[in-house]
Amino acid sequence: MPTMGGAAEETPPTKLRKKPRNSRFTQQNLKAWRPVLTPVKVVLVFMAVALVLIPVGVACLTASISVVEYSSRYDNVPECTDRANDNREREQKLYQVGGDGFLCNVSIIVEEDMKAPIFMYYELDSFFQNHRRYVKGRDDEQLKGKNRAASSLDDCEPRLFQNGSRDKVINPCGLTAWSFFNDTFRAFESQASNTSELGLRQKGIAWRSDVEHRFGAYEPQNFNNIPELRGGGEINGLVRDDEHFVVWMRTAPLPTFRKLWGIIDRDVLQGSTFVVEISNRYNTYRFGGKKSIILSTTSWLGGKNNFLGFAYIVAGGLSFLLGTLFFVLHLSFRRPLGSEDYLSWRRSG
Amino acid sequence: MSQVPTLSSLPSIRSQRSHLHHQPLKGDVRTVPFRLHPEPRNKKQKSEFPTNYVRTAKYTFYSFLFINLFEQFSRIANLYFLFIAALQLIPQLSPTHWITTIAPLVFVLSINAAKEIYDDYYRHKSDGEVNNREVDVLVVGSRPVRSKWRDLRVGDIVKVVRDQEFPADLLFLSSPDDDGLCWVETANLDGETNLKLKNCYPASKACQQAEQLAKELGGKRLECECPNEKLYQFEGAVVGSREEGLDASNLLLRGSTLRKTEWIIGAVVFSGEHTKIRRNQSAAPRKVTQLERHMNMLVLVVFAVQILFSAGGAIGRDIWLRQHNGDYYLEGTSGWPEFGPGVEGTLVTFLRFVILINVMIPISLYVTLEVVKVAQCLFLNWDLEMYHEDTDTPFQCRTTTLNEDLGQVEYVLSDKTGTLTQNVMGFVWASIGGHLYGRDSRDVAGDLNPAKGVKLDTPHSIALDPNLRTSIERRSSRRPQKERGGVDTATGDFFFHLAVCNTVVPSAGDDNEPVYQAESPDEEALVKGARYLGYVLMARSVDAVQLEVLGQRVDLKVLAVLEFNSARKRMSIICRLPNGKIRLYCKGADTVIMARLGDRKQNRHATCDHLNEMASAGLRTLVVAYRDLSEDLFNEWYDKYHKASVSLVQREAKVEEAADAIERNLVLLGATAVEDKLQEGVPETIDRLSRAGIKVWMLTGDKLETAVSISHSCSLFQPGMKLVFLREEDFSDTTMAKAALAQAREDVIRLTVEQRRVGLTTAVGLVVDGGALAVVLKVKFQDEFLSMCKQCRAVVCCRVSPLQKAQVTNLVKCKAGAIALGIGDGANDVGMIQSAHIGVGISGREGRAAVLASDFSMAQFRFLSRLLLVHGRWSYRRNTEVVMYAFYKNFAYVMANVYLNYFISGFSTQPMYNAALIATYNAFWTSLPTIAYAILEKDVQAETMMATPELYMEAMRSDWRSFFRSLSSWLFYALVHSIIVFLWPMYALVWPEPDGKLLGLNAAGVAVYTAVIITVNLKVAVRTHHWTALNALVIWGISIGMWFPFMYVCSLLWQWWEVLPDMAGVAQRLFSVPAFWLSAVIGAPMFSILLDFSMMAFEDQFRPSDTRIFQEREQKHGISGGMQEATSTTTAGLFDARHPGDSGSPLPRDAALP
Repeated sequence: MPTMGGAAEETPPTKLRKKPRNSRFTQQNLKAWRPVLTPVKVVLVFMAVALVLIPVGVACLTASISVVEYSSRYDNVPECTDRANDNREREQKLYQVGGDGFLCNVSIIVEEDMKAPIFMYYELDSFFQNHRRYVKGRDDEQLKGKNRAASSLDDCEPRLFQNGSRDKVINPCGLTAWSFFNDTFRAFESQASNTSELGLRQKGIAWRSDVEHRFGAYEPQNFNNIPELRGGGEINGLVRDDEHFVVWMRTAPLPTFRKLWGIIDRDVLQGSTFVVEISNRYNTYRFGGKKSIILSTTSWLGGKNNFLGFAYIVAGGLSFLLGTLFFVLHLSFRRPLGSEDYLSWRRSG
Repeated sequence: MSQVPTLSSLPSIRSQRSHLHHQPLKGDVRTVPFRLHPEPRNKKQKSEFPTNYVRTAKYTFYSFLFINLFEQFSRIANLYFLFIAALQLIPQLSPTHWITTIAPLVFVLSINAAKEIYDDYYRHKSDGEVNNREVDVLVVGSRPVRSKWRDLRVGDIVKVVRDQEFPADLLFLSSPDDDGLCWVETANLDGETNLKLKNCYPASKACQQAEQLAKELGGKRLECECPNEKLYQFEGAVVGSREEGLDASNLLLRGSTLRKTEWIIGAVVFSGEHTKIRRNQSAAPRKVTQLERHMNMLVLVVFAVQILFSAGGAIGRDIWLRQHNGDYYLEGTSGWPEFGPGVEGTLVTFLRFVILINVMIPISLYVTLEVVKVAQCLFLNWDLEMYHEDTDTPFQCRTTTLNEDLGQVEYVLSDKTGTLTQNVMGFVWASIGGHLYGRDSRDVAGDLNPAKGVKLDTPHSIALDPNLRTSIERRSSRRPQKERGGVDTATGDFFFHLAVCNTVVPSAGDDNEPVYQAESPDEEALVKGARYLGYVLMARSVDAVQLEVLGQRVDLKVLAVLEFNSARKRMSIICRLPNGKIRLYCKGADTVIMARLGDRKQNRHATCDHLNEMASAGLRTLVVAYRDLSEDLFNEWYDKYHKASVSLVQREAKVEEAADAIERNLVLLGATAVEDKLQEGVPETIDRLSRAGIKVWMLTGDKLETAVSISHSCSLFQPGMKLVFLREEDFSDTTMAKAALAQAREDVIRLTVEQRRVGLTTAVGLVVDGGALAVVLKVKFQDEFLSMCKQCRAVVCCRVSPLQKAQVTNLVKCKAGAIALGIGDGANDVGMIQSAHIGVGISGREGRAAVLASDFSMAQFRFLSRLLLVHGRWSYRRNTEVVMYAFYKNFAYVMANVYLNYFISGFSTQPMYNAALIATYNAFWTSLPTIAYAILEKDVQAETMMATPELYMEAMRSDWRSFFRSLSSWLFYALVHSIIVFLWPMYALVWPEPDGKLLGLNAAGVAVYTAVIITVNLKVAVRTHHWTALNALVIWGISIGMWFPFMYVCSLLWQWWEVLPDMAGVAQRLFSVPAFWLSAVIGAPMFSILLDFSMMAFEDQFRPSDTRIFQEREQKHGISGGMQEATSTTTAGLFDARHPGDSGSPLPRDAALP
């Protein structure tokens, strides 16, 4: 039983043993900054925010505008599909042909000088790399080169065993790797009658940390060999060395996405034409996905992306408008600071 | 030890009773053998009684896990998260890793468990200390054996020495006192600090050793009632060749302490859990605050929203899948775990969505609130403004869960005595023989030399009345007391009576001045007053009183004491005077005594007038009378009385009947008036509370006139206020009651209207007396009564019983839909304190019963204004903010998952954030700032709130409607913020970066998460009005500041261990990307908060809250007197201006007596 209290002492205690400590903290009296925003300060804040956001927006927009970007869709180009009429026919012909698929050329006229490096991307549309089943369809430890028992690779279903035979564990397993994009490209520059192949550098297109740490240096096993059932293609050499594969494995957030395919380390000037030789193999016809080829330079901010600039300008502009509105309202309904007339018990009484 | 031969009245009669037969006990009987002979203590042998081991600790080492987990999971939110975690453990079902729920849940549970362990540790320590205390056990044939308390058995004979606690409930067998008495202090038991006297079992009175006891008790056994919780009742008997009755005065209770007596020997009757103190320790009712009730409702609402989103997602998936059957790369939609379109798949997807967005209900809310409230309580305990230096009493939070309710109190139900008044009684006036003395004594006493030992500032100012003193001196010199063998002059008789007729026990103090131990402060005042006038009570024992009358010793033999109780409202002592006559001295309430006066009605009218005058001055009155008894009459009566007092059946009623027979035909001596001094600062406090819109009700056992006068003096009733009365006599039957109530209600409305016309608002007070209250508390009148009360500014209930106090409290609590606070200091307030939403105990003179039952305890009533207006208001605002913010931050965070799945990833329940982020969101990045806010935030300063109590109204008036209104605004912002923080980084980061590479889904998730963290932290920042270094540290330094290093380290881990693959390399990549900084770190959070900021700025400027106006005033004027002056004029129009010093004059003004 806890003993509460002590003996009843009649004399007042000489020593105040229970007196709380008198410190700024215990008395809730810590030094503090207590900002109260007066109308002038509010307007200043609004304007200051506008003053920061709008120039940043303008800078972003300028950067984005300075980027030269050309894009061309090729999945429906007649030469690339053996002049098939619709997607079903295109898909059938694609399987019939097999191997390197259809070879075709797509031309892009350069209207503005493009400074090196020029990045070449492929873009897929309506492809849900962000689908949960697709995202989880991999095993990161296996990709790192660890030995993984089949029993711990549940997430790779249904692409865990080749042809369903339990002794043939697919490595790298799972949906993401299985549907590896396998169109290939070559780029040429055509000036007047003169056509020369542009060196498409295909190293250094993936994240460095991915190549160095995330993917292992090992030979793929039991990988994709059934063209009819696959979208995808084979991995060239060791897993980490096929940077197209590494790039593919960074699943994209949106169903329309582009992926870096190669880098041209050379300026391409106005008046010349890009000719991209495509070997069209990847099946997007079943779900009606578009495929495009994109050539782009970058600025300090990156690729062509007006969103960021506009967002900043809209936010800054809003701040400016709100500040102005506030100022006007303040001038028309002046309320003296701390005036008692606005107290609720004054108004109601 | 030379004991002062004194005796309290309590057991005096019963002590003379012995060797009597009694009726056998009814019902279950416990038979206790006296275990005087050493016997083998066979531990395995199961005793029918429990051991004396007592455990107050909640847990044992082994039971802790089970009990604590059980308690925690009886909380619905914890159970919910356990359920989610269980779902996550089903392989292939959960879209997120099981760690994401288990980790925060374990974190939350372990904080709570740590708190419980901390609390229980001290209980264990004190248990261990108590159980291992040692006591001597007497055994025949050997020296006393030291035994631990825990090893005591029922029937053991123990010897307890002075100043020790009794180890169990003992039958008192003997003490060194010749009469077989001992003194005990029961402060731990019932809170009363005065000493009580106990009687031993008479037969063993002289026994000092085991052998003697064995002889006396040999062959006898103890029979008594079974263990119960009644502290003041015990029925038993020692059964041998005959039965000898025992009662509560023979029982020494565990929890009380032996005082002033060298030692006692006792037999263990009840041990361990059977002791009365353990039987009395019941768990206090658990109180839940209004905020928590709203919060629980809110959890349900949010849960419903979550179910809707999940159902929508499940249906959406079905449709999406049917449209996307060409997405061959998503192959394998045929069966568990990935069904195709259809019912099974929809159900599974529904569950997946529930798991995915489960944190819409904030997992950390309850534990955050707990932490915050404990911290707030520390600040309450530490507040020097609520520390009472005179008694060295700090404020004490006894419950740590009710803080925010303090900010919403609408009714304060207050006890009077000891709470509003000091319970320091001053004997101020006396009406003797038709003369009123003492009324002007303070004014005229200045030039006189007061008697020895009387100070000019004594509360007993009667002693200063020069007229009275000369009257006493003159008469005493004319007629020497000694010769006449007593006193019979009116004045002399009067004070002689006061000195004799009481239960005050004097003990020798310094300089031979007696020190008085009194059960009632009124009596103490009267005895002291008499002493100052020369009638000194020197000693009191079982059968004698020794006085010193004007320097001469007078001895009286006490023949009987008829005790005071609240039903009798009087007490009497029958004495044999030195001249051999027998006289009955009686004093009591005016109505009771006046009805018992004999035919000699001398001075009756004058006395009645004086009584009225006394009452209206706010004084407590007693009427004093006597009766001379003849030998025959007394003897005849005493036989009857004796029989009654030893009866075992209905003893109380029989004694009362006997007493009633003798207390008749009394001769009036006069009346006394005792002043009940107000506590410091009471009128100012009540003023403040009513300015804050809090209605103060006074519930007192005093009579109507006294209650009304105290109400005036303590500012409850304002000058110019009209009063409406509900009196017992108007409520004798139902129809009358109905009419009276209707009439009163009409009066209230009429007077309110009249008062308004002259510029006073709600200046009507209601006075209800106990009889009327009993009627209006009946169900059919409750509503009407309450609605009438609501219209009155103050309500005073007088002559109420403790039970009625609790009933009134319940009425206000349940029917008025408002928070009611009960405040009191006495055991009679316990019911009120426990049934109120908040119980406040005043640690005063009436012991600790109220404090032990209370949620908060403090030394002075005046601290209430700071408790409510400052701490209560702060707590309410802070804790509401914590609750709102918890829902806000989780909603803003979790909605990204909904957007991703609804609009982008085909309802696939793909998580936006990876496991490391989900598991740390609530615990690491968003909890500290809100905790710091809830501990440190001060929207306005304490001084401002004390000067402007009206500020309290804002919080007080908020109910569930305003709660949900404010919540919907929070959730609206959560929605807007979630859209901004989702869209901005997502769309800024799906484009190529400067080196041409692209980010992926993982990195986008981390970027969105970064934006969320910064936004929700900025949200706290813009809402903080009081920026201490601590706030800055937790917001900038820890929550935002530590996130970036954390993210960086997580991104590196994959290089070395196979952990967090989804984070691998992400931070390094993001840090090198300008768009990340521009979107997630700056753009999205800044834009989100810009919206908050502008809404706040516009509202503060063009629709300012009262709080905002006072923030501006603080800024403008500083927290100085200037502002207090300015604000005090704000209410001048509301109530009549009060004149300073007016509160001292307590006469009722314009009381509209019906």
